[in-house]
Order: sequence, then C-alpha cells, then structure tokens
Amino acid sequence: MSDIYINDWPPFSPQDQNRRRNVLEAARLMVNAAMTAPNAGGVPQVEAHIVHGYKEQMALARKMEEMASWNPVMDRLFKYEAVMVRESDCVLLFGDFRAAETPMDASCGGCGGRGDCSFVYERRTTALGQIDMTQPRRDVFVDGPLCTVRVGDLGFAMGAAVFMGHRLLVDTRPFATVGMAAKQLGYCPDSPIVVGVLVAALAKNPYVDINTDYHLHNQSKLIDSVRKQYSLARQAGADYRLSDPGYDRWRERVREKRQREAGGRPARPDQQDKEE
Amino acid sequence: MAVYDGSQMAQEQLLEVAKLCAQAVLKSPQITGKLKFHLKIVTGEDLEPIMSALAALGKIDLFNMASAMCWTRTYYEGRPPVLLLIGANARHSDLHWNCGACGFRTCGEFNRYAAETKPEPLLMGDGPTCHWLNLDFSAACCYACATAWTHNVTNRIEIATGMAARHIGYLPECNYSLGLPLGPCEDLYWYSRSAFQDLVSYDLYMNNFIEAFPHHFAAFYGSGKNEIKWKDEWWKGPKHRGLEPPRDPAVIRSLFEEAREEVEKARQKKEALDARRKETGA
Repeated sequence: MSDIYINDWPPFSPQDQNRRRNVLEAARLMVNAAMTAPNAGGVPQVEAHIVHGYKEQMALARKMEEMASWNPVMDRLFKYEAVMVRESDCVLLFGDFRAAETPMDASCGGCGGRGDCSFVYERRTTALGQIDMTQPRRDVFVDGPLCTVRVGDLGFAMGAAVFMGHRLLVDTRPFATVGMAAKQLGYCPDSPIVVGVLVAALAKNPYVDINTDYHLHNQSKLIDSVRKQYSLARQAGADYRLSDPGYDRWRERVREKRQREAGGRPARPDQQDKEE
Repeated sequence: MAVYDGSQMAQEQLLEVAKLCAQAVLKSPQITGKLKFHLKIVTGEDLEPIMSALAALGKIDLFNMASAMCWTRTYYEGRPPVLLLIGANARHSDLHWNCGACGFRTCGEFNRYAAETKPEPLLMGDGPTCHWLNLDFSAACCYACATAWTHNVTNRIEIATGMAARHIGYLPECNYSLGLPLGPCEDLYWYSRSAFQDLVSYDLYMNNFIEAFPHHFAAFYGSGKNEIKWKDEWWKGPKHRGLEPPRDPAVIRSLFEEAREEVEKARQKKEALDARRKETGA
C-alpha cells in the first residue's frame, strides 16, 4: 500500500502534482462531455486540447498578455484572465474545425439575415461551393464570417464540458481570450474559433471575486512581494550567536509573567533558570 | 395516505423539470457575462399553434416536418411534452471586442449592418449574430439539456420548434430561439423517430441518400461515364442516372407562400389563446 500525499502548496510540487493529476481526470471527462454534446445533425466538428504544466500554462498566459496591447477594449480581459491561466490546474481548448471551411449550409439566416448562406460564401474565396481557407486572415482575432450553426454547436460543446466540470465539483469557466491566445500559439490548428475552459480544484475558485488591477495585485504578485521585501527586511539582523534582541525580549516577558503570578514578587532566580 | 398513478405523476412532473431547466439556463456560465435570456414554458393546448406552424414550415424544410410529426403523435396520444423556449438577442453587440468572427472588422460595423438589414421572413435565425453571444446562448441551452437528462426526462434541443414558436409571436425580443421538448415519459422519444419514418417512404429516403452521397453508389470511375448504381440490377440500365434537376423556383416560392399563410393562421390561433387566457385570468 502506498500513501498519496496531497497539498496544493507549493504549486507544482510533488504533493500539488498529485492533486493536479486528479483534476486532469476531471478534465478528460469534461472533454468527453464536449465531444458528445448535442449538435446540429450529429456532425463531427470539435477538436480539443488539454493543456497543463508550468511551461505550457506560462506560455499561454504570456501570449495573452502580449495580445492585450493588440486591442485596447480587451486589454484588461487579457491581462486579468492571463493570471487565471497561471492559477489554473489545466486549460481545455475547444475549436470547431467546420465553422469557416464547411458550414452547415442550412440557409438558416443566422450569419447575415438572408434565407441562404450567401453572407458567408460571398465573403470567402470559393470554387463550386468549396471555401478556400488556405490563407486565413491574420489581422483579426477570429477569421470570420463563420457559420452560426457551427459556432452554436461549439457553444454546446463548451456548455457540456463546463456542466460536467460542475458535476465533478471542479471550478471552471469558459473564456474567449484564452481561446484567442491559444489559437495564436497553434492550438486547435484546424479551427477558426477557439474557446478556452479553465479548470481548477483549489480552496478558492480562481475565476470569481477578482479584485481590480488584478494583473498587478494577485496572489502570485503578493507572494513575490514577500520574497522581494523580506530579503531586504532581514538585513537589519545581526549575528544571532552574539546578539539576539528577540531572545532577550522573550526572557523579559517570561520574567514579567512570573512576577505577576507571584503577586508582584520577583521570581526566584533558580526557578527562573529552570523554566527558561 | 394516498395511491397515485405513477405515469400520471411522471407526466405532471415534466413541468417541474422544465422549471429546473429554465434555472439551468439562467445559471449557466458565460464568456461574455452580457447575454440576457428570454424563457417561456408552453404546455397543453398552447402547443397546438406551434405544431401547426411546424407543419407549415415542414413544407420548406423536411426537418421541421419531422419535429411536427413527433409533436403531433405524442400530443394526441394524451402525453404532451412540456416545451421550454429559450431565446436571446445576439443581433446587437456591445462587447466592442472587434474580433472579426462575424465577418465585420468592428462591432460597430456589425451593429450598423444589423440595424440596416431587415431579416428575411421565416428564417431559423435573424442574423447577423455575434458569435461570442451565440456561444453563451448555446452553452446555456446545453445546460438545460443536461439538466433534463440528469432528471431522466427525454429531450432534444430543436431549432425547428424554437423557430416555429418565434414565428408565431413567442419571444419577440429574440433574434434566435431554440425549443426544448421535455417528455413524453419514455426513452429517447425524439431519436429513432418512428413518427418520422411513417412520413418518409423507403424510395424517398434512398433517393435522397443517392443524391447526397452519389460517390457511395458510383461504379467504375475510370469509365468516364460516372455511372451510378441507383437500383438493384443497375447493370441493366438505364445506366446513366444523373442528379435530380433543381426544383422549379416558382414551386419553391409557392410552397414558401403557403407556409407563410399557414404560419400566420397559427399566429392568430396563438393570439386567440392568449386573449382567452387574459379574459379568464389563467
């Protein structure tokens, strides 16, 4: 019999990895839920990744921070949610590889309000109804227009994953920014639109109760501040073998306590030594 | 103490599950945090105008008729499902993310196009649609489905029912809606649809199949004749069966007009029911 010790601190330590492995099991089930989610016509269209590990999560978070400057409106979303990527146990990525290249062709009107699919096809390079996606646009986060039905199906996949996560009592939330950054890094390579689902099983849900300026003031930053400040603060100390003000102060407290207990009389020296 | 009819109780419980599904929609996590849902729960005779509209829309698209057949059968068997309608308006975006997914460079361009473009009649969705709101909408619908599933209530999220209901006046604030039939109390009623099979003959089914997948029925490609094995003794000819010619646009227009008129009648029926309910205070 072996003992599996679990403690979420320090992050990525062996005891924390034991915990993260459990979350990975939940994440795998979440992906399966997404793969079997309801969709229009039962058409296979979803690709997924489970991204985990210090290096991988940091790379994704850094890309999000880089992308913050690309779009002022999303600046804070990217920055705040990059912190959440760092704090997560793993990241699920879901893409719909049919959303641009092979639409539903159901003339639903969702893309442009017309009773055909012309809105999408007119804005693409096509031949005989085949959409050429060999040279996607790079100047936007998402190379649209996309098929509304396909994106809706991706939403069902995302919803199923999150629903499963909640059933398994892990904290989880879907994010646009995570998907956009993951796409830039090459995840879900066949999908024009990618959604990120963050997953964690920590004492505190990392996706709620977010203070302002979160990219500047968060747990990692505060801990780092302790490391930074304390290094300086300890330099006021002297050689503890020769001089120790804290020890002196402690002896003084003990003496005072004994005096109070003895009704104000000084404690006997022999008793004082023994207790100390 | 009392003895209850279990089947009757199960039928009555469908309404309670519909309420739980509505809660699931409202509770579902969102990417945007900005999507507002509009929900209706439709029961009993109020389902009739929706079934009529579905049948009318079935003249345009077969999948509407499939839904109409399933609804009608179980309704007239005396075990009507409860319908949860889930709608939202994703035709306007105040995200300002300018992500490009909709096909426009900015949310402003998207909103201008939406304001200037009147959707055509009888669409499944009145586009354009903001895809991030669309994702949130679908995830919420998935929450409703999963909630029904965990309560052992057969269900199937449907574009058809949502569209039919919207076209007769439900959820007027929404550009898109889906319908979630809950019940009847049996396993997977909305799948392996025997009601639908009664409508579609073997020949019609196989004809559609050959048209959709001609390569599956193709003979030797190298002959240069693209021969299709379209019947049992296909080698006896005629050998060169091409695809069916496109339907006459005039016929399609006429069917569309018929559907519009019938949907309008269904709308009037719904309004009459609404008025009666108002009078009686029900």
